[in-house]
Amino acid sequence: MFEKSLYSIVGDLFDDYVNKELIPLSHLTEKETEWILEIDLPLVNKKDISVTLSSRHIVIKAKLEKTYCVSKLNCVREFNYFKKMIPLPLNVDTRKISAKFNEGILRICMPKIITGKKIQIE
Amino acid sequence: MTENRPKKLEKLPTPLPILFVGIPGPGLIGILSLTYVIHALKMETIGEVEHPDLSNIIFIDNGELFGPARIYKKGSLFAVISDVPIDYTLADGFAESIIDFCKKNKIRMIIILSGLQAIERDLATLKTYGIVTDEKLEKVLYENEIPKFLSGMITGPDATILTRLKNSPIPTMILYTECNFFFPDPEAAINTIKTVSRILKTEIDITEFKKQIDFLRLQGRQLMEETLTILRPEKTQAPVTVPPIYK
Repeated sequence: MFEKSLYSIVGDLFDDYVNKELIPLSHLTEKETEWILEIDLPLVNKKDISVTLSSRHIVIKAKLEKTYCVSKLNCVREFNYFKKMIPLPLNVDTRKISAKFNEGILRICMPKIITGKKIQIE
Repeated sequence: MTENRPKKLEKLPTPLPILFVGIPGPGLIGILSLTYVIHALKMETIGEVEHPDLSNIIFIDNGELFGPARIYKKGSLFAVISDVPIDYTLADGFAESIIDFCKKNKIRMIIILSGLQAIERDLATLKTYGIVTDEKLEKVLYENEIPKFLSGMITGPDATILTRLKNSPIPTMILYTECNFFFPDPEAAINTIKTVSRILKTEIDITEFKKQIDFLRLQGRQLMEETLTILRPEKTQAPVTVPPIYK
């Protein structure tokens, strides 16, 4: 329990170091008929991105075109990958998910499952 | 002669004392653009913004101590840049410190560099808009072909700072460049740098900046995340439409 909460506190700061993978910034927007997930992937080529879908998550992994070095706490760490696992929003039609990569931003469109029935007005 | 070749910068053509301000905000526009302007104009550190709430963090670089909000100078040009987000509790005191500094140094104009969410971000059509607190600065907007921000809403620490400055005697201009709100956007920041360059009538070579775009995006990830935690709560509370304004 302690380990988990401590990890969540320092997680944002040290995930990069623990996993040796950079965590990209992402943003999820809800629209009327779809969810738009954007992931910031600078220094990445389209061919080096993989998007994997499981029943509950979407996993984005991308190889950097150059090694990115960070100097922190008197040591230098090298990073070659981005990786992020993002929970899928509810009510997504997983068969219709599509993705585009433009200007270093991966845009994943996740259409919602449209359900409902017409109500007759008396 | 290429378009971006800089003129000699030993003497800036502005006799008017101007203060530029850049704090972390949408797309990190203020920080990215002002850091580069400071670098390109070879401005030197002359001090730090003194505020008790800003004293709980200090950076160490090459064994030297630096506060999070520093002041730079070259000739009659000044710049204040903050490496930490200015949240709501800090914004009022930060603005007060800026006003005090301006009074002591006889600053005649403040220019704040910031970002504005672009609905459909298209690099080719991104614009930089201006808002002024004093009619005298309308001329600066007109002369430099900066469209006026006519209608909309400002939220977050920018609004707090602008409110304080609006009620101060120092004329203030805010430059809002359309950008990606959620990710560091150095490409949009180039528009801000070009606008600053026009206002100062000094060419700023952006070749070096363009080469670093990907690395600036990588380096800015953590600061962007911290900045969004400050901007998000108010952003969701703000009304969606502009209320009718009675004059």
